Amino acid sequence: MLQIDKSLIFDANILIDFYRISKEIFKFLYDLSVIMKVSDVTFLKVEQINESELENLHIEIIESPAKMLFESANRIKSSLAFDDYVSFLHAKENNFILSTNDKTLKTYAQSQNVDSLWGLEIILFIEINNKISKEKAIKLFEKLKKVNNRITDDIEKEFLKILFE
Amino acid sequence: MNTFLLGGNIKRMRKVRGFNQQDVYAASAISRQAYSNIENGKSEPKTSTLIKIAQVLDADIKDFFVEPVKFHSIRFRTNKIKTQKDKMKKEEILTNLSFWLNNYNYMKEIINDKQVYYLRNFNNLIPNELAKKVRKKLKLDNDEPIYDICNLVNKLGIKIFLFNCDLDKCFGFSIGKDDEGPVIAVNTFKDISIERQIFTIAHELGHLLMHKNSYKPELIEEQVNEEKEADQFAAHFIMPNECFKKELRKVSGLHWIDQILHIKRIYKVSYQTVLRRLIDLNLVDRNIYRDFAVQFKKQYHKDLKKHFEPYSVEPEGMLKSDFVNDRLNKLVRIAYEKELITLNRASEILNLPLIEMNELTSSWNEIKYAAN
Repeated sequence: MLQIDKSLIFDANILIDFYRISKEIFKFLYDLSVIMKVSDVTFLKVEQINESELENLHIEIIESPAKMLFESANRIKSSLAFDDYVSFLHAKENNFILSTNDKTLKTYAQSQNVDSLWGLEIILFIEINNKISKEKAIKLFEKLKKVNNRITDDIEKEFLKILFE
Repeated sequence: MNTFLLGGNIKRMRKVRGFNQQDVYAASAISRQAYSNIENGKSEPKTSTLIKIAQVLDADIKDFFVEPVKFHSIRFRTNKIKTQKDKMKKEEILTNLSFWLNNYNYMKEIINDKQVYYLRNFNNLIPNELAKKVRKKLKLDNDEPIYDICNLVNKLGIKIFLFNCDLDKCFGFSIGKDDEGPVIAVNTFKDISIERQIFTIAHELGHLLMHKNSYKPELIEEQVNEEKEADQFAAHFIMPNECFKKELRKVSGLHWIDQILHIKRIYKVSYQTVLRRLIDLNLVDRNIYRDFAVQFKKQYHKDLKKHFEPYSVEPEGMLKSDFVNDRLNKLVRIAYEKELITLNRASEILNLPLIEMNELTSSWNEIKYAAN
């Protein structure tokens, strides 16, 4: 059974995606005692949400040490953006789960033995824990598909399969 | 953590933006001493403080931490750059270029793009002959105008970097092969006409081909002869004599002002480039500049005399869409669609806000990429 037993750290995209499709997702996660975090430099990328809103959503901003920023800024050959890498380092150093909808970032995290979670898995998690119905989960999925052009038909099939298992 | 690097970068960005120290520490709500210590590398500030400073400077916090780069094969004539502010602007342009170039080469590497520099063995020719030879290499017909100079020069394996900087009389510069180039850098500052930007590409291409030994960072004085040769190359590369004359014959029934405007529209050059060619071919005398301005005002009620180089006004000027440099966008699109980079990284490389990058990637799906 899908479990979230450690703090979640969001990358910028997932924060924007969830904020656009339904802010309630954060509320449900909070109700389920999931600790949510975002790095300070990731938050800078998310122009749609201000600090007090983030506080209301129970998402904590964590400060990144200068050393971490220096290391992230000077990675010349990288498939990850500066703040992607900062989020990854936070997850690695603090044993967080890195939550992302980006396959490239998820694959990188997995290759470095850092736990990661898709946005769709979060939707499944709140459904499994009876915070939303299956119909609501499908609606959220459809909304997410509209804002995230990397969700393929195969992903959709897999999502529905798990949802109705 | 290199605090001197951090302080130096912040200081440079502040000066480039025309702020004094007080502007920044007051708006960032930190003390004068604390701010001074940061700039002088005497303290390691908290990230929250750096975020405040970045917001005041409208800068990306990442850029505070980037190590400066030294180009060894560069042709950037800066003898006209006198002030400290302008020197820092130059440094900032080069820092941005270095970031861009690293990303460009990384994109090429991960998508296995094999494009190489084609023109290494072209030298010892006079500018007009060289221009002909390069056109031939590019399979351009003798009378064919250049519709898309960025794409064409990219085909030669030369990268084009656009920057936007109010740096007096700096239209562009170039980087040699040894620094992961060649790169032609073009200033797209709002007051520089599109015609001038197009000409700059051809001009720098001339330098890359004819003046290989002048790619030294310590050389800052302009060599009049080299500039003249590069101008000649550029003019003949964009507008060869044969086709210039042919086009002129085609419109010989028009008023002479309209003949010039017609030619400039076809070849996407400035009216002054057309006038200069008419003089070179002994088709007019040197009074043509004055006569053109007088007659143009009479005919079109616009005064060209009030505008002098470098920011001359172009009659019938080109539009932004006449000058598109999309090679890096293409590389990023391929890398993103192959899932070799994150969306966030794509936005970082193309310097777009994340939400705009998301919209751009969605728009890519509207027309499928016709890969080869």
